[in-house]
Amino acid sequence: MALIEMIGVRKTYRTDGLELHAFSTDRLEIDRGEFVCIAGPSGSGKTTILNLIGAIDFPTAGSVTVAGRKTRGLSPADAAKMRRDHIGFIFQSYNLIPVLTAYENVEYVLLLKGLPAPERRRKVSEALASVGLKDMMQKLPKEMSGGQQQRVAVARAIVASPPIVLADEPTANLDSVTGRDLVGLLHRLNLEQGTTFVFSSHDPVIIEHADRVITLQDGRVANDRRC
Amino acid sequence: MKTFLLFSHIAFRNVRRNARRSLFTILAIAFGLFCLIIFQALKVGLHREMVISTVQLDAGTLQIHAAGYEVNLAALKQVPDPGKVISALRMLGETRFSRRVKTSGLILSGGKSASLLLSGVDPDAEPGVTFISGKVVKGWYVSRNSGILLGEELAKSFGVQPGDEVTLMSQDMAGLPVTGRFPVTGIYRTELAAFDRSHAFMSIGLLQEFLHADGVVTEIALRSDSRDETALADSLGRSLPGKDYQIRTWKEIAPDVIQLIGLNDATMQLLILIVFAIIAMGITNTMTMVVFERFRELGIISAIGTTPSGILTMVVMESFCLGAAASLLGSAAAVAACAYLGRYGIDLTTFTSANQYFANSHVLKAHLLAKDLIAANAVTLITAVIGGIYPAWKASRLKPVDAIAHI
Repeated sequence: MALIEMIGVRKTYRTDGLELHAFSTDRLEIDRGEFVCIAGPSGSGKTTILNLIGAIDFPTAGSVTVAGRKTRGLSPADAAKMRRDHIGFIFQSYNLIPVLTAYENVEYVLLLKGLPAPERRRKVSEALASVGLKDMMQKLPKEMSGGQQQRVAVARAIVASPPIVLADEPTANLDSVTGRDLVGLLHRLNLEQGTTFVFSSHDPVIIEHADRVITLQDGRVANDRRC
Repeated sequence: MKTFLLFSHIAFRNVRRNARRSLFTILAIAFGLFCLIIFQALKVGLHREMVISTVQLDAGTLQIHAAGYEVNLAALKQVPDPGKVISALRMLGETRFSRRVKTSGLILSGGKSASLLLSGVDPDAEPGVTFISGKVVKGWYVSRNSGILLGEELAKSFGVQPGDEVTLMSQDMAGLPVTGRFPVTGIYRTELAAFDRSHAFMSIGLLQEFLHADGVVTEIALRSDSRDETALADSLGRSLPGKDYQIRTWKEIAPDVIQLIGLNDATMQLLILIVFAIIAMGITNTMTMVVFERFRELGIISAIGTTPSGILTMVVMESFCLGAAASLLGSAAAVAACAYLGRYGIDLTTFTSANQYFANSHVLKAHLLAKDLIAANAVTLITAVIGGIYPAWKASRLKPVDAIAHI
């Protein structure tokens, strides 16, 4: 069974009485360890797919199964627990908790999971070291550059070793060199840890590293290419 | 527990995040708490003063009379076997009691006359019950077989001084009129002019002699500052079985004081309700703004796995932190103000004329009770939590997908 399965999925939004078709697919599967880029123009449904996989949004019809569990019908609390246990998120605008240091931001997820302090210390140190920020542990987000903040966000996404990391245009706010470094880092983590990465991006650097590119057009899969 | 500490930690830091807004919110809550603690302490001080004025002016904690005694009874109604009452009081460990004879009479001097309540008191025991002996401004207090102690207002209106003589008229045990001339031995002044105009004192022996009532006692007054008056009256009642005696507490003697205290308490409760409703609205307003401002951030927190109850806890904790900071600040300021007002008080003559509830002193002093301070702080913290619940509930129900898309 694939790690992520979308069967007969349709997602529509209703705004001011108008129904807006955001995404639909008959079947889409992503296996464990894939490094997938979902590409397409703005409004093609890239973020909608990530939201559906990440259980922060739910399909209007059909089913999304993540790590063997259907997301539809989950209570808000169960959906939160599922995200906590199975998914790491990297957002376009870093989105760290501004009042917590880099260390605390990364530790947050482990605290939610209830890990003991020594294990938390070890994992957070390893995660920050893996993104090259071991010396920035006590810095607040506002004291770091955009690239450093995004690397903290990566550390936060991978620290609990989730099977899936979802990254919504993670390089959009970074300069090309920083963006390239970040993608290289994520690819390395994918290879070393077998974590499944699903990106939404039209950044050529990500597309270049991806071993599968799903191209969307008007809310539908226009092309699904393995590289 | 770990996550609770984490949420508390975030909440505490969030309070510092918008320092100016947090400061204004904290100051507003602290000011409300400060006012309530001061009002409560002044109210307690007022009630203490009212009770002291009632108990130590004349009533005592308990009064024992013959059964059927009425305050305005013209004929003397003798307490049966006063020695038995005194023995019972001693058995209960009470030592501050005084035998009295009370009768109404007429005072005449220099063509003027006035009716008054004449009290014959035990010169040695009475100062342990009432404070009149400490209020003598001229001459001296009642002593055995000397003259009469008049209130300053009465003495002034009669134009008499210690050493002058006045004439007293009353009726004796048999109901026959008696007249006598007595030297004025002293003049007293309470803060209550009406009392001073209508009450005169002499030794019990002298009054018994004047009324041809040798050995007669019409009232025994007891003062007990440490014991509950109702329990004491019950104990005394058990020690004096039968229907010969009438035992009344100061609360029964002066029900108006209790009614006024009750009215004050009710008014204060209403005030507390209003102030805390305002505090709750202030906190709700602040926390609603906080939630709105952090809509996207809360969405991210939710997206990375925080449950709705976790978000609710986080926001309520922030509200609690505001309340706790305000509690510390408001309490510190209120304790300092109460210490000042407890020492120097507020001179009520600036606001009101003398009244029966301030016979001892016209200065209202704050009296802060630990239980009131604790209760005010507890209510502040509870209000802070309640004020934070609605915005926290809203925050906990936000959909992460909407929040993350929010700009």
